[in-house]
Amino acid sequence: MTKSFVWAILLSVLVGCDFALVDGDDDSECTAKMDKVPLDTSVAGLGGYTQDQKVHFINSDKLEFDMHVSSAEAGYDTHVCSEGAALHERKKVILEGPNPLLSMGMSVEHNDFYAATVKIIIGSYTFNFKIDDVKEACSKQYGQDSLFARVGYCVVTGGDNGGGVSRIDTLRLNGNLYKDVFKVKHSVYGSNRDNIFFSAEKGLLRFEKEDGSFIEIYEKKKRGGK
Amino acid sequence: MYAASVVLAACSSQYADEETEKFLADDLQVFLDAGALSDTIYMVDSFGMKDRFVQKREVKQDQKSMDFRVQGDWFYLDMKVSVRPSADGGFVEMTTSYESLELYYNTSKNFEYRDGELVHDKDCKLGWVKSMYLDGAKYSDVLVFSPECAGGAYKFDRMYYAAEEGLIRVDLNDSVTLFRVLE
Repeated sequence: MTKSFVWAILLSVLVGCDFALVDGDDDSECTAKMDKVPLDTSVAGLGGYTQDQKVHFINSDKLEFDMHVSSAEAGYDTHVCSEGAALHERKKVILEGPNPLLSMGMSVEHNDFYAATVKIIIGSYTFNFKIDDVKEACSKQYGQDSLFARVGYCVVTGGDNGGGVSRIDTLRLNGNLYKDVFKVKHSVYGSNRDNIFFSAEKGLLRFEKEDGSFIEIYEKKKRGGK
Repeated sequence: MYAASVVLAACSSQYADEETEKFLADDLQVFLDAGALSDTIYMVDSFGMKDRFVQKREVKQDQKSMDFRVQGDWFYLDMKVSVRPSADGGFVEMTTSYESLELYYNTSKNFEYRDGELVHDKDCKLGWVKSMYLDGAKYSDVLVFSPECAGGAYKFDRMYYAAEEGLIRVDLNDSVTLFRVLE
């Protein structure tokens, strides 16, 4: 068992998305009778990460580095198997940096109460937020014509220790425009200035700390933005 | 003489009876004399990436105990060092996010002293360097933990704890090293 493999297992547990895969050919008598509920499409991609993909980042010292997707899994939670219950889809990814202490774990899962719960672990930080797909709640919170209401999901809670979540339409990084971005605050040190920016399409976009340092995705500038 | 003995708890060390008087060997006192600590440090890895670490140390002289903890921001490191008295002269315990290692200072066990390191018969090592230089700075009384000895798949190869300054260096597997640097 290699050291990196052990670390991947540990991070996988930390991400908290410990599930067994159930595919379409599963012949378990119990799970075969259960409905399978896919993830809300708003976050189902979980950044679109694929196994062995390399994601380029840059930090505030202008140091460029790659994060390697060492694991990208999807499946259904099989912990509960009972008549009338449903299997909920889950996904998780693990990204590892050149320094094994710099790793990221992300997971998305849902249950009967929330369309999705996204959990992101970076270093000593844990960010999580929930998305509610109840259109009425979105409309009430953001207005009938809000993007949330039109799309059909909204953020209702999230962040550790009251950090909170907000949503911004676009975020420009290195000349590229990223849409539908969640800004998740972390307040473990009593500050709301530790934030991550996350999109369902691209995953982690930026992680900025209260001291001004940051890491962010670094893609080649596209003509006219994205 | 600090070159006494190191025993891994995982290797069946026995705790002293409650009635037995506990004491701290004079050699270990230096880790209490450093006093309390609460500061922010910076470390840079082999690739040039720098991260902030917060470290704290509490010392209770009347109880002959010391507790130290250091945590990184986006480098996932959570390391604790503690010193406690015991019937055998005390012990140093190190734990990290990944592994727990208890190293016992014991004046009565049969362990050898080799090349500046206290060596357990299963190659578990607790080095004690009287002084070393890093990035132009001199550090004294540095404990060097080598947790790979216990046979597990450890993430850290070596961790360097200076009695006064706290964490100063970390050697990771795959030849990655973190050094303490000035901000």
